[in-house]
Amino acid sequence: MVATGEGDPENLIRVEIELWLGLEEDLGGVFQRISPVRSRAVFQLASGTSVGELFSSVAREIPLVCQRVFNAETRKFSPEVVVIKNDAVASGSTLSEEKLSHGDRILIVPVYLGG
Amino acid sequence: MTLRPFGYAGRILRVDLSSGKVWDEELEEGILRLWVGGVALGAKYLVEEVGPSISWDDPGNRLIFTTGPVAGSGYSGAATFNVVSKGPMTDMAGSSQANGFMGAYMKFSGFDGVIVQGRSERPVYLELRDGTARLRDASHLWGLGVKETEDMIRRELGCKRLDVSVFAIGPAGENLVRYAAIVGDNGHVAAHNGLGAVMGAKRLKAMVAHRGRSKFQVAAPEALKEADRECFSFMKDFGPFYKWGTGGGLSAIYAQGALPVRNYTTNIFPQHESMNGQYLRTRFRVKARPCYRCRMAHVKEVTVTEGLYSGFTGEEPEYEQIAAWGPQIGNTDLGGVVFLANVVDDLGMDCNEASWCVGWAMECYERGILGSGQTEGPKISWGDVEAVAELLGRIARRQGSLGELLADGVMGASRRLGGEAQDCAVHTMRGATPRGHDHRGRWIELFDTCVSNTSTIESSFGGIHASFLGMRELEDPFDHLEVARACARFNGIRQFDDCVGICRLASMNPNHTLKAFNAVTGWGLTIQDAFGVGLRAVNALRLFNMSHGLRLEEQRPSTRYGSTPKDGPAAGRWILERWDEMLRVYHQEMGWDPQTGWPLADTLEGIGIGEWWQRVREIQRT
Repeated sequence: MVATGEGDPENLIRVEIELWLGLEEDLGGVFQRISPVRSRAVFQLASGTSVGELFSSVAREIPLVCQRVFNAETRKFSPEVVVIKNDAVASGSTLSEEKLSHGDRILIVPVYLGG
Repeated sequence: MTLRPFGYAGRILRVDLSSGKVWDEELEEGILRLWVGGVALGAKYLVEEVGPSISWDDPGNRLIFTTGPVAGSGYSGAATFNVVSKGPMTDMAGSSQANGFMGAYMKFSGFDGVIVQGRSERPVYLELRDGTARLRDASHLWGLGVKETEDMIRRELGCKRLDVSVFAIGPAGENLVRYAAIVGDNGHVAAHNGLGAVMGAKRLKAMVAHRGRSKFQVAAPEALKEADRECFSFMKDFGPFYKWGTGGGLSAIYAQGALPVRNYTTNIFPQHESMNGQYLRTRFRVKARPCYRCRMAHVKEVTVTEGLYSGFTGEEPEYEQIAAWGPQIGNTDLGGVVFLANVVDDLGMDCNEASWCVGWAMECYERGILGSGQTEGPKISWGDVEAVAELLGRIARRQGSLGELLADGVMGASRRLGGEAQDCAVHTMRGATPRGHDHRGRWIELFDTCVSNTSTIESSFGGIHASFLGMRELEDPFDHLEVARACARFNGIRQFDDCVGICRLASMNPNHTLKAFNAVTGWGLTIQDAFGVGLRAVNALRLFNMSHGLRLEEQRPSTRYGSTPKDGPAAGRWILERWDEMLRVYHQEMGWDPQTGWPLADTLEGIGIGEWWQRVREIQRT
């Protein structure tokens, strides 16, 4: 899995993913539950890894992520989630191709509109 | 004898409070096929009976309560009723819904709707029972809060809690506070556009419906049961609502930059995790208080178990109340939120508008815009729950200069002070206000709130639901023109929900709603037909608003509402940059004149109300 990233430590980057609300249940694997609404995982990745590559890898290992967050086949985020990268709402249509940088933090949050 | 259509009581009640006369009329199937119920049926009567010269507090204004065909059928979450009137916040159309029991009991009492006109000389309440209606004296109830009113009515009618549905106004409605609400069945609220003030102007203290014996027919009972099973199975795993209530979404809303914090002055609120539904339901004691035959049962009674308000018991606050009395006023004590939510409901006020007013006053105090010279009473500062409770009481009774000032809503209050006070007021230029969100992080709802005809969100229901309908999603939530197009593209289906008598939490997936609707009525509508029904409501209310003087410049946010967030996930985003272009695109996509916003002849023809074009031309001529 991309999460275990191997190779020259100089070329590894550290990226954090947090899944909020309802998405955290039964995730297991690398995700640690850090509060009733949040689960977090930290990944060591090869430099140059894209957001889509990371999430494809996670989605393949964790069916719930594949089902509710990211479609590894189409490499698209579900319209049911909002992606927040480094504290700013990101556009789902172009995000997949973006290269990750050391220290990036990605939050996945369900869309709730109305009250 | 005329056969009643499946799903309907087949009659509408008329009440003239000026004369004390009460009568009923048959609802023809042709009218029901076109307007269905709820908001659409209400809109039809509003357009036909309330002319531009009638203001919201005129006896000629109509207060139109309607239910829908699925209400009372046993489908989970189906006891919703709708209220349509010309409302005081905008002096234009308002449409609001509430759950509980009324939507079902009104039909069991023999009526699909109640149209109230006139003004009573003395306070009265209306009692519906087994096909009859009676006006009863309410002088002894005038001045009471909603809860006590409900209790007293049940006592004097010799009824237990579930025997009758009671919706009433509190002191706010009696004193014509412009955002007074209609509240009942232990904390359910028809909140928007001050429809409680319309009730107050008519001196109608409450409406009461007995569980009753009058029944209606369902076309396909087994299909309805199947639709109910499907919907419940879907909803219990959809989002946090089943387990955590609407407050379960608060942290997610915060993460998107859509939680209102201190009157839109910041988007940072690290305490969100001790203010959400997850925290409330694991720390406080909760007891189920479900609406009529609702399996979701998300409505709870709650007892606070920590902090200053430990021991206080009341209705569990919904998301809107938590946002209003938590971050919006700088309060971090969830017990204080529970307390204020129950205070505002008992006074009979819309929590959203009340909190925009309170937050605005707090900011004005902090900035020295409001001072002791201008208001009596203690200074109110961020998070001061006791001072807010006291202030809410003064607003509801229009006591003192600050209470009087804030009773007209945040737009009215800020205009009266002028200058800097106007810069920090959150509202649309029509006088309506947003629901409990910071819409600067959620553009589609900001735009919808400003352009809608119901006085609150009308179209927006998020990308999650577009996928259920096979529609194109809103891909970039901060793309100006895509937001405008999506707002038009989605418009209609949510108004259909508000026609059928189902709670929003049971109608997240429009396919389930339609399946239930068809099972009850046997009409076999398609999703496109459902959009058509909703669009009839939208266009009818549009015609109403245009003919009552809606101007283009009123379809905008105030300076603060349309400002750029300084921090949080939506920092730097500015919706007003291309507002005029958005408006033109929206009008065009809706089939309205791009420049003026008037519905076009082809549009009305396309949704089956082509004959209304003549009405448009007459209005335009005058």
